[in-house]
Amino acid sequence: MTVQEAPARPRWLRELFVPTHWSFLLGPVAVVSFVVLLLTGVVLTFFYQPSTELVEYDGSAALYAGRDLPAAFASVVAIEEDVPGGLLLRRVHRAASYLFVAALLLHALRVLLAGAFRGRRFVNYLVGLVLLALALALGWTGQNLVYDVVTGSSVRIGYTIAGSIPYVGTELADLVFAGPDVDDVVARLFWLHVLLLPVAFMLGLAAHLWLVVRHRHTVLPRRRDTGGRWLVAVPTGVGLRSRAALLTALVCALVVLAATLVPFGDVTHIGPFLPGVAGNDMYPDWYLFPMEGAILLLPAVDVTVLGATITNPLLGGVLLPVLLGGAALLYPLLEGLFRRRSPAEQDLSEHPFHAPVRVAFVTLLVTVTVLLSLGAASDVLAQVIGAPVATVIRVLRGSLVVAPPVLAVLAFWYARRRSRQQPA
Amino acid sequence: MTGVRPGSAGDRLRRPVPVGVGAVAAALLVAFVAGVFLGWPTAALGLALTGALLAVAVVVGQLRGPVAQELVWPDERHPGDAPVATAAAAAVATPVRRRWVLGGLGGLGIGALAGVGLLAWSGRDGGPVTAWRRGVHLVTAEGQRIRATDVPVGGFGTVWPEGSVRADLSAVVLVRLATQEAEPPTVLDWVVGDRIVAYSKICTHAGCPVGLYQEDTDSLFCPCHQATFDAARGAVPTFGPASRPLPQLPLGVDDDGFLVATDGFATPIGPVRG
Ligand code: HEM
Ligand code: FES
Repeated sequence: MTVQEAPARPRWLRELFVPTHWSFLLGPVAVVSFVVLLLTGVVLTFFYQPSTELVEYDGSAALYAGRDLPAAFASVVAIEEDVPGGLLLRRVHRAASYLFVAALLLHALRVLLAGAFRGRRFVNYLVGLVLLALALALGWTGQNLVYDVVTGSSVRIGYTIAGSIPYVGTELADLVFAGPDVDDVVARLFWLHVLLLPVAFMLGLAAHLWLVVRHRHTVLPRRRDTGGRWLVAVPTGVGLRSRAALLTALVCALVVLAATLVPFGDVTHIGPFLPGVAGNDMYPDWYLFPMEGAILLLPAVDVTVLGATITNPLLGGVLLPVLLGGAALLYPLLEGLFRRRSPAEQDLSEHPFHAPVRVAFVTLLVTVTVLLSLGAASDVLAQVIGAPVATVIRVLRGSLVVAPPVLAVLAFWYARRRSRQQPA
Repeated sequence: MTGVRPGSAGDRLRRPVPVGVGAVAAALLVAFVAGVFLGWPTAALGLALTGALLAVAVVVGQLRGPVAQELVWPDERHPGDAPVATAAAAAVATPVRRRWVLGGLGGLGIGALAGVGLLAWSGRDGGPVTAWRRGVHLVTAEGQRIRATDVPVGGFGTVWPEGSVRADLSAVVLVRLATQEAEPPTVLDWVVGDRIVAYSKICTHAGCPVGLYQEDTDSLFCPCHQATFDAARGAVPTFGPASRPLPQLPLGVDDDGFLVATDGFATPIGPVRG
């Protein structure tokens, strides 16, 4: 064992110390998948056409031969069918987007559970929340570029949700979506997806990483036989480049393998979005399920107060996400008020069991999110269980009221018991 | 520290370079690139690239120095002691920084207010406009006018205003009720032959096209979030998240028996706006 003092404030990456725990890889995995998204996205941009104008399809897909398709959809079909390696390229872009969002979500969960948001790191926690929101926006704008049946409806729903905001909603929606006819919307979303949002994300990421280096990682404590504790970490300086290269190669291999085996987002069998046409199995990408489920599960509401009309899309599509995001944003401040720790203590990566209230809060957040996501798939659930959709929806509504608090209390008791058995 | 640091360039030089795996990586990469130009199937391309990346991973794994050693240092503090990292903490908590933060927040607030003001000031229109007017014929997607007597039970999925086929927001569902005659709150003057009704196809919940007509219950059903509307009773919502009925299109028959709109929609179509 090398006993050595870590530098109080690293000047650069090589002086950074990282705890030896797998969960600290989630952030880097997200960064690597972002790079994959950038590279594949740039190539896709050469072949994609951001227009909803109807064009006669003359590519090699027999299914669409001679049909009028929206230009965007036609170009995606062309990428799949007529661009060499195009199908793999699309699938890699989509698979990387799933890994990207998943890694970000888990990374945020780790930060929450370990209390890595405390003290001066709170600023970077906020930056992280912004990055998460940008990632979801990137995913949503990206999947809508395809302009198939699913994304046509998805654009409508997005327009409605934005438009449901009192007083300014309609103007806001028209601004973002280029008007209510959603004709020009793909061109609008295209610039958001390939330019504005990626640049915003890169700037945010740069700030995020700079702050990580500046504040240092939280450090894992380890109990000493003689009482007290050791602090344990590895310096990134040793073998940093080779470890980064290894992680990059492995993540890329994983994404490409997944894209080879799973037909992520293949468009050949889903129809284009044409006005008036509805599909039956229409689901957005999985990370949008909570929002989709929220506007599905919440009941119909229609009350006007002070000239503002409160509707289901406002409650489920705006208020609930704002509440969830706001809870994640405010929790660290509340914890800071009631659970004071010295700055040195805040530099430790805490085991979640030692903060039972935090465990309860995270349980609440996760349960609500999971139940809302199930709501988005209630028709599938109904089929699987063999019950009417209406029943599934009622059960989920009930669970949404009962399950989160109950599970949160259970999690609190469990964490407290564990923490007493094994003090820090 | 003296000598070669573990994992440093000097250390790495002494390790055998895994030439074999490196060659495999290069070969697979070349195969992938060639495959793209030769138009190989997706599975072959994907496997070649996966293999190349895995081989690269092996090479990197071989080349890299020993796993970085854990550094362990005592945590000498007791509760209440002066913290270790005070320097960094103090640097962050200076008033200058706080001023920046407050200034930033203030700026954001002013910006947001200005934005809201601008948006609200830019004025609002009266909701989405459709192509339905008095005397506009209903036509199929192929542009054919529709004789009232030709409407089958269950009706036509989607019909359009003549001259504006596929004008998104003007889509209408045309239904011949299966189980009963239309009754209030359906506007009976706008019903043809007691059973033929037309409603806007844009769901009042969030704007999806209302897709399904169920004959056994005469209900219209939106696949997006399961909103259900009673087609025999003015398309009032009977289940799900929609709060308002689908607007009814005033329907009539011209002298030749073709279906025609006797007016535009009386209420705004589509979702309620905030
Ligand atoms: C960083 C996060 C990003 C995420 C989460 C993301 C996500 C997505 C998703 C889910 C799709 C639909 C995939 C499909 O069905 O093919 C998509 C499509 C697309 N993306 Fe991205 N993307 C990202 C970055 C980028 C960047 C940086 C660019 C370009 C510079 C880009 C360009 C495109 C294009 C052109 C399409 C449409 C082509 C197609 O659908 O095949 N993306 N993106
Ligand atoms: S859009 Fe029809 S139910 Fe939501």
